[in-house]
Amino acid sequence: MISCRSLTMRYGEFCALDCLDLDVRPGEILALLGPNGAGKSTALNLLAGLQTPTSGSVTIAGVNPQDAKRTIGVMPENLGLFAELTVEEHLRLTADIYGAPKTRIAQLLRVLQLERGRDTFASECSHGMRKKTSFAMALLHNPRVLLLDEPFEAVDPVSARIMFDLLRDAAHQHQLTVFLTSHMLSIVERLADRFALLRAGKLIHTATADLPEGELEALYFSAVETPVSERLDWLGSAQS
Amino acid sequence: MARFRTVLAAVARAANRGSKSLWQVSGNNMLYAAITLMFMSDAIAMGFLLVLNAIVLFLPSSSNPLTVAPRERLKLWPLTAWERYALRLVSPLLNPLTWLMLAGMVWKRITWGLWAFVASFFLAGFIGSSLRIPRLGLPRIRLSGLAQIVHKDVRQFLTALDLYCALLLAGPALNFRLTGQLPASARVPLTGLVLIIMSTMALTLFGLDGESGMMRYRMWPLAMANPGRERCRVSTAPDTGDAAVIADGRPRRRIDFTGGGAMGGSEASDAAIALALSCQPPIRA
Repeated sequence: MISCRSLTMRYGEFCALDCLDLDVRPGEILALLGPNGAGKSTALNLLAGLQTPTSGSVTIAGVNPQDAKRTIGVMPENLGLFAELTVEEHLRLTADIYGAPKTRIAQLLRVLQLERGRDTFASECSHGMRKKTSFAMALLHNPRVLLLDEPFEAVDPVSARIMFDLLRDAAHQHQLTVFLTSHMLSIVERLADRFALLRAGKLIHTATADLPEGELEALYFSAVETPVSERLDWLGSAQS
Repeated sequence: MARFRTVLAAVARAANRGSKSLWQVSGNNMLYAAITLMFMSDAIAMGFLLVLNAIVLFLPSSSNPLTVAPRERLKLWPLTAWERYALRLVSPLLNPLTWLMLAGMVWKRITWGLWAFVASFFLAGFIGSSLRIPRLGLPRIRLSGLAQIVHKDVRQFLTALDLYCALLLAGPALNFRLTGQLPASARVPLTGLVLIIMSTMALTLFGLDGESGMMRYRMWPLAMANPGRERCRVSTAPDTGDAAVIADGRPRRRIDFTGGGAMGGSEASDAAIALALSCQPPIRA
């Protein structure tokens, strides 16, 4: 469903993504993991067609991302919300653009617990609510591919659980392909079917979900980055 | 076309909500100068400033209401190329300042040459937005011995369009002045124009220091301006513009004249500049 071949993105001298070769099958959930600045969001932007690669190619359902806009639902890094539109207006706008049934709006608001904040402007929403609004916009038109940038960050545990169940159900019951980036190892460990570990723009490891529980963190620390052992020298006590 | 109408309606709704009062309407120093000159019945100068405003308004990084729509979202939506062009074309009409500017240009009957000038910039804006132009980042210059805030201000200032426009105007003006070709009547408007252009971004930068920093900056033209009556006139120029941007904390953009809402945040300054400039008899072409 998603295919990247030698996908490279350079900003002048800096190489954000270096020859990424990756395939995601229909109905599969792939989590792209890596430290800050590893190239996760760049990879997602290239898949979404938000950026054009310096070299290499990417296809979604066999076509260029620019021609697959109806096929994909995206939750971008900065969420892509109008500051002066309400939560419900965002969903209505998305439904109008994609020709999705309006009945889905009320249902998404209920399922994602956004009903109470439906008339709140995005600029007045909490970060978690804005995340859920962007998530709902990505899901609304029933896409075949979901691209999610850090979906669980800043979301409360109950909402994270709801999103978790929604994604697992969508992928495994309805063959939705999910490509997500995250730092929440404990969540993606249970959610994803496959993990791709990225460091300094390079794909360094892929693993399937049959890892023992807690093993993903150990793999991450050994393959991606070792935790810093140096301790901070505190300047006296807090009371001084 | 249904998608185009949907997006335009959403942009209009969002832009309208952000413009509930005059305090929120995007403006810049050039507009204030144009309004002032309009009251002075200086048709030529006002026409010129309105043309500059038109250019600012229609260039890609301008105060176009379409900027309320998140850039990623516009890219993600399945809009055709024609729908995107139509949005670019129509969305500036959602800004009341566009209508004000067009009305002024029609009323003052600017020449066909000036209309063609505006049209060519409008076209350049469209072509420019379709081209892949590398983004201009902050220059990585090292200025040892300067405080960090000054260091940052200088770096930002070098990426402001205002500075280069001011240099463009100031260069030939200085040459004319030194060679004795500049008419005496053109000295004050030209100095004012340069100050107006420079002050938009400069006020933004110095405003980061807070109100005290801004006030300090407002004083500097007093020392630089010509002696006599002109001092009072040009010193008010930097006082307009982005004061409200700083006070409201609205986002500012680089390589752009406009910092955001400034229409209502500096009425006293506007009145001052209008009064000061109106002491001077109208300049006749």
